Amino acid sequence: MKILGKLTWEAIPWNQPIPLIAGSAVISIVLVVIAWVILRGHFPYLWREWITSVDHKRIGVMYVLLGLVMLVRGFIDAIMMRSQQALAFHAQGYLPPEHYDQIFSAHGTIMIFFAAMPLMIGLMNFAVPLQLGVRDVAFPTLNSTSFWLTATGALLVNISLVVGEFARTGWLPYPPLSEPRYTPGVGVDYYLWALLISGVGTLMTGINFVTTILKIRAPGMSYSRMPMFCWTTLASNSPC
Amino acid sequence: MGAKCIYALRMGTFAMRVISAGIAFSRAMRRDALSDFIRAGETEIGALIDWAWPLGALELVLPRRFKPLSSGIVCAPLILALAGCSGSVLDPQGTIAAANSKILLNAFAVMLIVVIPTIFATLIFAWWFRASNPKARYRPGFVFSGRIELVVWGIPILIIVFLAGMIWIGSHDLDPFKPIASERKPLEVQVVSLDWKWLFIYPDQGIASVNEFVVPAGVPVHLSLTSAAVMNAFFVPQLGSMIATMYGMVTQLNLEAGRAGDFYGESTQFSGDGFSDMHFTLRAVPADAFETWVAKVQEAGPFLYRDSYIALLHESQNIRPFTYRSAEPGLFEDIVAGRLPSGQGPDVEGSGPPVRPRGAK
Repeated sequence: MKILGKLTWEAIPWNQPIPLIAGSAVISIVLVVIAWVILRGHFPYLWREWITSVDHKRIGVMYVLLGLVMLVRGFIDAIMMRSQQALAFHAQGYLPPEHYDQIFSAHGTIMIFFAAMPLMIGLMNFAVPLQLGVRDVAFPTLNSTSFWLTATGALLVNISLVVGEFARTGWLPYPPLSEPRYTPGVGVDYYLWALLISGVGTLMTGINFVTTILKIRAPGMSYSRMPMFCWTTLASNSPC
Repeated sequence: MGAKCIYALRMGTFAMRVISAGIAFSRAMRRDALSDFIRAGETEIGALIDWAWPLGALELVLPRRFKPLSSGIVCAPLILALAGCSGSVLDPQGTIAAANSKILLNAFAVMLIVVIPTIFATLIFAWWFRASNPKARYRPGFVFSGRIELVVWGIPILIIVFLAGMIWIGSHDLDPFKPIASERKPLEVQVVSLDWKWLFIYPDQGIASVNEFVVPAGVPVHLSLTSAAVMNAFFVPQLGSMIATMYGMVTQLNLEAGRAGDFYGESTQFSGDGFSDMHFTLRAVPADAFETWVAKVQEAGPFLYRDSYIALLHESQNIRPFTYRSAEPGLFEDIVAGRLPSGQGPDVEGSGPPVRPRGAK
């Protein structure tokens, strides 16, 4: 039976209890939070003041929240990997290789691209304009777009928990292992799309920070007076 | 080294006991060479920690002024335990591995020139500039000192230059392609990484083996390596130098086992579902025992020719070691040149949820 286009109900791992239970737990938590927000009448505030906000401090806070949520996800992956390694010494363990490999690939991808990077970018978003003495970054709307692209990438990684599968190729999918011949299935596609979508966001964030630091510092804020953290941001966001 | 450290030590001891018990149990369940091998390493560490923790308990009863002494006694066996960890790069058993671990330890020692004074300086500064010390001067206007800059930049620069030189020379000396200088003629072996097992072809002896690599001790071994499927990396930690294997490409590696013994070998490049079982035992045997082994292999077992190679090519995991009595000449060259098919990957049926990208099989 088809859901959408080529997507069928078979894509949902009905026979694998771990992703199914984890997925339904996540979906229930999300639904409860959404229901609470709507029923208590917080949605207009949330939409106006946070979701569509271009304020660099609020975007920074949302980046950090996203980073923390994904840190928990990556941490659960790490616990699963370590417990499998402890249980599988000359024994079966509780995870089959194809599931373990997904967890191990998702853990690397999440911890680098959806936990460490959002935490860093969130801090930069919050602090850099304040340190430079400017009202906001150079392109505030672009900043919001970047954040939501990153959040979309993170969402895509989490969707792979219940629809299809995630990459089984490690977090640096080397060809030819990542080619369809050796890794059929949608996992590598999830990896590539999640990374490219959030990658566009990160690229635009980089452009935003570099432009902000180079072009719109407060009067008197010369390069030699610029705080070290702004230099850090400039160096880590510059392409060269 | 306070009570917390003793507590950590005890927990460590406890964890080691649990692991040892687990290994002993699993060994009883399934006995093979590898578990013995790992067990040897674990017991060594376990015994040393067992020996260390009563000394840690001494710290509780000793008077305060003897404490640094007992800390030293507690730490030394731990360091020894780490250094004596068998099966690792720190327990080299060949000329190349010895040179590798020498570079590792030298680099470590050179870096300690910065690390140890920094740790001490941190503690000394925190102590000296405490609120109650009237001799420590508070200088909020302090901006620049040429001498301090010279020390904090000069020493690290010297160390980096030194390390760079050491690594440059070491890398050229230990180039995996460079033959080992020896009076004895090197043994030629061709290595093919398959999904998920290692194939070793002995072209001069006309034999082959899977997941078991027998070499004469004290004789240089020249390996030509390739992959018939995805990328892998060949590594025998105790013999040194890891090298990648790739489809359609030949890499080379020269190793020599200094003594007879069983050495753990593995793939160190993640290669898919069967990766965790993709290890082998390198058995270094005396030269005459090697001749006997070759003669024995030539007597029995299957033949390795085109068709049996293609059968071997199918994905399989956790293959028990076996040998081929005869290997078709030129097989390795055919694999490299693409005259033989490459690994076909998984059967599409039963390999994950049936959502396929457009254009996939």
